[in-house]
Amino acid sequence: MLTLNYIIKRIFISILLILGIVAITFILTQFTPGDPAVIWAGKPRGPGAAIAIAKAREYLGLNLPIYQRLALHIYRFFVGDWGLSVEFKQPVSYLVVRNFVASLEIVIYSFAIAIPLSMWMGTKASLSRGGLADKCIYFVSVILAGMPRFLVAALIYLALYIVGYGYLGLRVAPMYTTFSGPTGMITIDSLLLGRLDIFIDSFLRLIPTAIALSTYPIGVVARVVRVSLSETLEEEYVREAISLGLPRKVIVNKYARPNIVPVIAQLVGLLFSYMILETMVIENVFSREGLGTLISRAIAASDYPLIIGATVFTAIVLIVVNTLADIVQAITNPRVQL
Amino acid sequence: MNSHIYAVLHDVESMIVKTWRKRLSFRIACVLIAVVIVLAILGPHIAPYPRQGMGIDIDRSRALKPPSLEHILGTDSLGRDVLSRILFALNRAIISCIVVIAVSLILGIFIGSYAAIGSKIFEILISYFTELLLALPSVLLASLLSILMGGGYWSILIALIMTWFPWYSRIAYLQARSLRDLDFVKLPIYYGLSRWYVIQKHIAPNIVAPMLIEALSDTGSVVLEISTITFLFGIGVKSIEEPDLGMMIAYSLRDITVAPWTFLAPSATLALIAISFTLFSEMIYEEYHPVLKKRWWLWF
Amino acid sequence: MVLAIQSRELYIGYEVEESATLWVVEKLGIEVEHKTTFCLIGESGCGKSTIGNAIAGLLPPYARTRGQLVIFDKIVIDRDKRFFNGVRGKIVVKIPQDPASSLNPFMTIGKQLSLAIKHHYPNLSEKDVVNKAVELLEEVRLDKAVFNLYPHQLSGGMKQRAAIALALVPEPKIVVADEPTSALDAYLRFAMSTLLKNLQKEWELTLIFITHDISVARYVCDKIAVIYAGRVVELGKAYEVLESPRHPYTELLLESVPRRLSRKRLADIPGMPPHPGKYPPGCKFHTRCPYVFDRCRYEEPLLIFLNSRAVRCWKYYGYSA
Repeated sequence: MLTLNYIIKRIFISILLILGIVAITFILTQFTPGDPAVIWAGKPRGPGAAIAIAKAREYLGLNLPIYQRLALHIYRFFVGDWGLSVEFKQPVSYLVVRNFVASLEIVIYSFAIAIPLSMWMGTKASLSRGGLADKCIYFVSVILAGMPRFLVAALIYLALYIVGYGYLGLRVAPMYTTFSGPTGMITIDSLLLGRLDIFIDSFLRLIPTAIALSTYPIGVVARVVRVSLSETLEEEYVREAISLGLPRKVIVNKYARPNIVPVIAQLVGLLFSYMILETMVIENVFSREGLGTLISRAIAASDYPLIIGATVFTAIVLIVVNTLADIVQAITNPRVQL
Repeated sequence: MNSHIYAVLHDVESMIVKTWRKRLSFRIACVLIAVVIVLAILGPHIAPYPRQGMGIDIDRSRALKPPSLEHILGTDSLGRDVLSRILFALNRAIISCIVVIAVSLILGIFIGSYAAIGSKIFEILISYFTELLLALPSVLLASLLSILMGGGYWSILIALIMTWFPWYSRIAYLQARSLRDLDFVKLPIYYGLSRWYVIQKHIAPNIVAPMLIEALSDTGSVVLEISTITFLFGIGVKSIEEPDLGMMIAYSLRDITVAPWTFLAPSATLALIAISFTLFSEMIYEEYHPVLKKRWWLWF
Repeated sequence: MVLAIQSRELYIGYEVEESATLWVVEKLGIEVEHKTTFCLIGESGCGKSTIGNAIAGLLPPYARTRGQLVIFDKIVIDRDKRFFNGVRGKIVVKIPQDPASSLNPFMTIGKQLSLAIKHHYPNLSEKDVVNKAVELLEEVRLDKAVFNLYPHQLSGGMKQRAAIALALVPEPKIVVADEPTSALDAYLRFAMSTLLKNLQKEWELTLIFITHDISVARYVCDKIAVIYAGRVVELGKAYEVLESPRHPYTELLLESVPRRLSRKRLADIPGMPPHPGKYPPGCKFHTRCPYVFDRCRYEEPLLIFLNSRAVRCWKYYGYSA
């Protein structure tokens, strides 16, 4: 029952936080230094500028009283009308969601690579703590986490280029570009719709980016697993299990490992925000479609509505992910006293 | 206040000295950090081609020269000496990193400890507000600010401060909360001393030392994050003259297959900084961890 | 008469820094007969838990040993090498000091019992495993319902009983009980001691009972070794040692315990027990001993055997044969 209470409380807090994000965007669009309409229209110059600014003024409702503007803002947010991108001349919500999902695909795959691998590495290291294997794994993980992501991505890109696969930038081969599905993640959609050829094609294009991104969580998670597993192995109940003569496999898998699942869940939630940043870098190196390339172009064009939309959406996803991580943490830990 | 500062410095110093004696990789990391900081301070003065380093002297006729005695790390696509560029960029990276860390540390300590000993409403508000700020992605915040403030480096620094200080305020809050029921914090408040005074005299000195180590460990990440953001900006914003590691990397990407040194030199510098700062703090952590400092092998 | 445990000049220490070892237990020489209860008694921090861990094969990797420890004719500790495969968890098990931290908080009691049972009896069917687990729970006077509970749902006494049930799974010959009663309320101590005493008789166990509680020791044990600063200072049959103590430390220890129907003023032992690594030269007890004379300060006494007992004190040097 305590767990359920906690989950309900956590969900309620995250709803509050999302409302807070909406309020921040309202402040950022309406109370900017200078004229909000000029910034919203992307600081236009030239003959069409006056018309664009007038349009933005009308969209933002700058001549309305403030409470009506707030109501309008909240209404539009929940309807999904986040304005029109200056650079792409398309609805912001469409652009953001589409590209975010493309980036999310990379993040998910890299976590799928990173977590089993880093669990294995961390376990190996903590079982021979202070020994050679531990030192090797430790320094590899420090180097992996410390290397800038563009270096990793560029090295992989360079290797692929030398081998002759320099054109992995697209998410899917040009002949499949019309393909679309319910989730927007091509690898998952193609499996759902039973198109194995598209799956293989998009999977091969995805894998280098996912590997490049996964170096960061591998480096971080492996070290956290190492530390918390080492701490668990010194716990009294592990020592009791050893005293009962239980085999090593049971002790490591059943006694030591459950202790670190909540830790890993929370860590994944915290890493998520950094992973989004890193994906943007990697997408730029591979010039692959996604949030990173979208944002780079938006910054160059001072595309204010698009960046606001991307900020809100990313922030909401982060809040949801962190809430989920906390809930997982609460469920996997039977002695919650929250 | 002075004696408090000495006490904190003494704590940090004894941690560093103890770890220095025992761990080789800590010594290497310390030396590397010292070298980076010295280079960052002296960089603009010892750069072989200061005008090229600042980006004023552009000559396409000597573009993309491989490393030689004349240009130790070669030249980039606009014919500038890569080593001079890196030395200038290093200066800027370290200074901005110190600004970000120092400001967010001070903000974090005061806001966090005020939340711990202030009124209940303030405590709740602060904890939600920090969680809200933690959810904002730094790069998007930086780009929003750069559009609002008309571009520039300051928007990146402000965005980074806004996303980093919540961490420190959270840590400071947790630490100050464990102190707030102790008599030396509770009694002065009963006697009617101001909360700011109590924070300065009694809370901050007790939580600064661990947070300073924490901040040192984050230095590498901050350097990386700044250059990551300038990397993303650099693709869009056209300010090629500015010496900045992130932008240098962004511009050298298109030449990576022709002249890999223009790319590898700045990114290797970044990697070196990040790894040595990580090692620095991790070794101290390891040395002071009751479990990790002991050896262990499979004995069951 | 079968010797269950025999130690010859056993030294146990922990590596604190590289090539610096903190010797906690020194010159330990004890012999424990099979199917008897042997008690190690002493103040906290005197090294009795370390001895318990050494017998149960639970010394961590950074522990250092010298000398020999023999369990049923098998040399398990030989200088710095430890050979506990086939002994730990089969012949020797340990009952933990603090039941709260010694049960896996992520598994129900039943799950933990069945895991252990499945490992020790791989041929049992799923149903038999459950039956055996329930049997063991009844053996330690616990309800069947405990099977499906998590450790944090049990009280301290129930946790201790569950831990004992777990320890009985491999049907051991030697049980090391490390302060099994110290984490419990006073009224539970007697019940727990009774349970252990009965189990020792029914299962024909050799029970190594580690405690600082003299009344419990008197109730449970056959033989007693009094430990001070990592050394055995007095050894003998329980009633003999506790009725007529020879070593000054034992005397003081007994005087510091309240007795029923006695109005005598309780004495406390002056000073503090020394920390490992800071043991004084000579007799380790001379800093607190009321009978101290010169020889104690620079020369350490040997264990002197007097009939069925042994004392480590210069006072008795003249008596020894």
